Formats: sequence, C-alpha cells, structure tokens
Amino acid sequence: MLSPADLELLMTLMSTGGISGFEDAVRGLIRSHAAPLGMLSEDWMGNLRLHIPGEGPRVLLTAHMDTVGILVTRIQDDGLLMVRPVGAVDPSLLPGRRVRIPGDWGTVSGTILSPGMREDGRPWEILRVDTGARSAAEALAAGLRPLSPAFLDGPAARLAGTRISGPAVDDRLSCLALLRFAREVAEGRTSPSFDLWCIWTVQNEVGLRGAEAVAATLPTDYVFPIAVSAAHSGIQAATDLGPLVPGEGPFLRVVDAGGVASPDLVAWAERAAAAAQVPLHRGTSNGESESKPFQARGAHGLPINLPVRYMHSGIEEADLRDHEALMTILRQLRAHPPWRP
Amino acid sequence: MIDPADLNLLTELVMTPGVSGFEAPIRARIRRELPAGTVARADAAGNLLTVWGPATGGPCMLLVAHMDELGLVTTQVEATGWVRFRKMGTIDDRTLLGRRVRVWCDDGPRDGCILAQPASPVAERVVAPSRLMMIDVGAGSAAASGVRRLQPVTFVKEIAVLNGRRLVGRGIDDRFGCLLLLQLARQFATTPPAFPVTLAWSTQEEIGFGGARLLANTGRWDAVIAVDVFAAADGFGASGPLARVRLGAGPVARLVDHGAIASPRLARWVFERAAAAGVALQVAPTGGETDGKVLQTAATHMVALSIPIRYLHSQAEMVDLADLAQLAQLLAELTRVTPPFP
Repeated sequence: MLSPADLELLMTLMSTGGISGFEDAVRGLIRSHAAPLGMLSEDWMGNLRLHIPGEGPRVLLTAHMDTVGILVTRIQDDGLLMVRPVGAVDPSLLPGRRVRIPGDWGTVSGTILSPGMREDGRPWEILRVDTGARSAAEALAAGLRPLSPAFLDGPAARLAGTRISGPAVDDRLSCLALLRFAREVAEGRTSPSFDLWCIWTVQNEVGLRGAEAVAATLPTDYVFPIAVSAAHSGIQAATDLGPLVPGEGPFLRVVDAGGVASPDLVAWAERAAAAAQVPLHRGTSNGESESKPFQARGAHGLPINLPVRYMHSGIEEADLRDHEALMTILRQLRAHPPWRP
Repeated sequence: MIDPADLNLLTELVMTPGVSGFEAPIRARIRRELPAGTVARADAAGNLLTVWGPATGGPCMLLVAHMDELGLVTTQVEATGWVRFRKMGTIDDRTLLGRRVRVWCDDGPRDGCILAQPASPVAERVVAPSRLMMIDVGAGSAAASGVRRLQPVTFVKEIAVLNGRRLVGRGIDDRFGCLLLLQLARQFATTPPAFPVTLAWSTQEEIGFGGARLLANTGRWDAVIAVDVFAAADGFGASGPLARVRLGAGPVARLVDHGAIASPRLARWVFERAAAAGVALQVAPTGGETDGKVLQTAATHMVALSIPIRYLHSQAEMVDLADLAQLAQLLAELTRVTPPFP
C-alpha cells in the first residue's frame, strides 16, 4: 500500500486546484517531485515531460494534471459571479458547493447558488457564485476578475477500508502513479530497457489538447495513458459500459469513443496481470483517451483505467487497491516488456 | 457486368468478420486475395497497404477502402448468461431487436441472438435503447456463456442477388470497395500503373477513421480517392437533396458530405476521365463522412467515389451490380492515366 509520504502527497495533489488551462499549482507540485528523477522539461502547452533515457523502444506513460471545473465569465452589478463549465461538469451537482477562486490578492471563497433548477437544460444561465461581494465594485476590490478559474472545494479524505475520496481523483491518482513508477525506474540499479517518458498533460478535459501537442512532437512506440473512468456507482443501473467496481481491479479501456486499444498490448497486459496475480478487467468508456493522438501517429496504445465513482462531481471515490494493482502491472513493463515476446 | 467469380469473392468478403478495431480476419482474407508475390504491409493501426508502379516520379495517388464493418462488442456478462454490448459504429437500435449474432470468443465463435419481446397484437412497443439490450447465447449462467468482456460480435448475414442485378445484405459497406481495390491490385500485377499508386484497406472507419488518421499522419500523396458508399435516396424514406441519386444510374462522385468537400481540381479531372471512359457519374451532397475527410487535411487533393446504396447500415444494404461494374471501370481509367498535378 501507499507509504505515509505518498498518501500525504496524494491528498495534496487531490486538494490542489487546477482546471483545464489553469494547471500552474499542480504542475509546480509535480515538478518538485519529478525533477530529481530525470530530465524534466515543460513544453509550450504546459505539459511536463520527464525523460529517463534507456536503450530500447520509446515508452510513454501519460496522466493529466487538469480537472473539470468552472470559470468565472462575468461579474454582475449585484456582485454575483456568472460561470461556465470547463469540461464535462454536471451542473445539477453544483448548487451548495464551495469554490475557491484565485484572486489578485489571494484566494476568495464562494458558494454556488441556484434559485431553483431550470427544466430547459440550460442551468448555466442561472448558476451564480456568491462570494459575499454586494456589488461589482466590491467584487473587483476583493481581487476577483472575469476568466478566473473557480476550483470546487472539498476535503480529500480516506474512507473506510482502502477507499479514498476527493475533489480530483480524476486524474491526480494517476499523476501519483507516474511519479511512483518514475521513481522506481530512476532508483533502479540498471538503466531501463526502454526510453521512458512520463508525461503529465494539460487540458485533457477540454479535448486532449495537451496530449495532442505531445503526440505531434514526440515520436512514440508505446503509450500507456493512465486515467480513471466512471465506475458502477451503486445507485446507477448497469449499462452497456458494464459495471466496474472500485477495489476489484483496474481495467483495460479496450474500446472508447476515440477508437480501439492495440490488441498486442491488451494481450500483453492480461498476461502480465495473470503472471503477477493481480485483478485486471476489460472495459469501455464513452469518452476519448490520450491514446488516440498517439495511435493516430503509429504508436501502439493501451489506456489503463481505474474505476472511479461519481466522476466529474468534484467528490470522486476510488480504491487504493486498484492503484497498487496498476503499479504491479506497470512494473511488468520492466520485467516482461511487451516488445520481448 | 461483374464477373461471377468476383461476385462470389464479394460475398465471401461480406461474410468475413471485421468489426471496427477487430479487423484481423478480414485483413487476412484480403491479404490472401492479393496477386501472388504482392508485397503487402500492415501498419500499427492494422491498415493493409500495397504500393504499385514506379517508386518515384509523377504524382502519387492513394486509393482507400475501409475493411471494417459495423458490429458490436460485449461489455458485460450478466449472472443470467445474457450479454450486454455496445455498438461499434452508427447502427439504428431498431435493426437490432431479435437479430442473430455471433460472438467471437477466445475459443471460437458462439452463436446468439439479441433479445426481443414477444409480439403483441395490442400493445405498441417502444424500442429500448441498445444499452439496455442483451444477447442470448443460450447459456443459463455467466460461466456457461463462455463470453468475456470486449469480444467482437458480428451480425449473422444473409446475402442475395435480387432480380439478377441488385445485391442485398449487411456489410456491403465497404466490402464492395475492398473488392474494387483487389481488382485494381490484380490489374496492377500485370500492368503496373505509370505513376506511384498505393492501395490501402483501412481500419476503424466506422468508429472515427482511426486507420485513415494514421495514414494521413504517416504518408504523403498528391491525390486521395476514398471508395465508400453513398446513401441513395430513391428507396424508402427518401426526400430532400439526396433524391437525385438513384440505384442503377451509375457511380456517384461524393462532392459534399458532412465531413468534407471534394478538392475541385481532382474532382474536375475525375469528371474528365469519367467522360473519356464513358462512365455516367452522378453527383450529389450527402450526410456522413468518409476516410477522405481526414486524408484531405494531410495536404492531399481528395475525392470520394461511391456507388449508390439503399438502406445504409441496415441488414438490407442494397446496391446495383451495374453501378459496381461502372465504378470499377472508372477506377481503372483513373489509374491508367497519370493525373496532371501537382
């Protein structure tokens, strides 16, 4: 299981605001942990690229730093803030939630309010953020500006057993997985039998923008996007996605809206999981993964996901046993790599 | 008219499984049909490519037809033995009920059918969305089903020739295109083209052009011709701007669709060659998209050439064999004469 230090890091990662396009704080946090592990660079989009050179094919692991969230679009005369979604946010989950808005002179807290949900499917027109400002002048004086991100607040917490909950399990749990894997490779006595790049990407939730930029500039042999995906929530009926339950193991995202994973890697991962005796499933998703832009350029790609409950709600739930199983499977990249039959 | 042996081959291509993303069987089948000694290469996306004519010199052309077909993948096996699935490609849910299917398990195919409620003379039934539908493989439990998650499912197909001239069945989209490219390969084996021509059978077209995306990112051509279907609107439910395209009235230049507008210079040249070859070419806008869309953005002139097809994406896709023969003739002409550009 996670060391106390890594558990603390995970909690910090989950509590750090960083909606798409506003990843500064989380990038700084990851940079400080990744810098000692290899050659670290930041590209023009803001992706963090950690290179641990090795002899062999180029292998990328990706995880995205950004989360879905909301953005201040306008300050009303009465001081209330109008907002719009960034990424797929379910507006019905927002009223009553606390937000943190980085202002010119520090963080301003606010509450999302809604004078009754509209039935016409346009709830964003009535959602407002109340920061206590009673006029536009007061809001401006408090340092609030249009186009500030509003981070959904909420405590990161350990739940019963091995479950965790927090505002950004998607995809900070995977950010940690990359840090752990890079650390293990960097601390290995021999150089890896592959050219490892760990990429923490930006702007995933608004259309894989960060991953597109990496794929366009870094020729890649194998890519393993590490992410989370909607799990059976316990209150939702089973659908065509199949019920995947946190704690029962990670899953290979064989099919999603962006395409189909490389069959050779699916076979490899299933062999690897069986050899290491960890649970591993096959699943699907209605979204697109960061595999798509790389596969479109000739890479073999396999997205590996952890099942997460209450996706994109700001309070997501995952199981650390799945995270450990994922780490075990990633270690098989070194022990039994897919390019060595 | 189409050669009887080729009609047989088309039927066999239609019957060979190749659900989007799971194209291995159809890829192997197409490879086997290539003329002896052909060097064919499969890329990371599973596209099958053959290159003909001189290695350099003159404009180079790509002809592409997609080998993948509509189908399903299993997503979950219930305790009852029933199997949930998701659609691979655009399929009308109404065409699914009661349909016979085949699940391609690790140890071979298993037959099944999609659940349907008994018919009722009184109740009008609303078709449930496909995410609530299930496949019955005749097993009473998950273990007995032998089915795992994420296995491809094909439709059990019937194919027939109506009135001696119209072919009807599921999956004619785009296996007719695959056949036309095979015919070209045969022609090139004896008479190579005067300029470099690549024939590509692409993958994952029905779920977002995954194969064509890789082609667009890794290859360079001066002209791309996508050979794919064109929804005819002279059948049931026809109306609007599509109504002009009729079965049996010749192949179609797909000049405008939801994804792309054909490159004017290439289209003009295609019309000139069609006139020279005595092929009547229909023209119309349509919905949908082809591989040509993603390939056009890779710095190539593009036009999509089609034959009219009725009842597209249903179990009764219908084409006219005369249109097919005419398109074969046009493609032969387009690769016989060197294009005048770049």
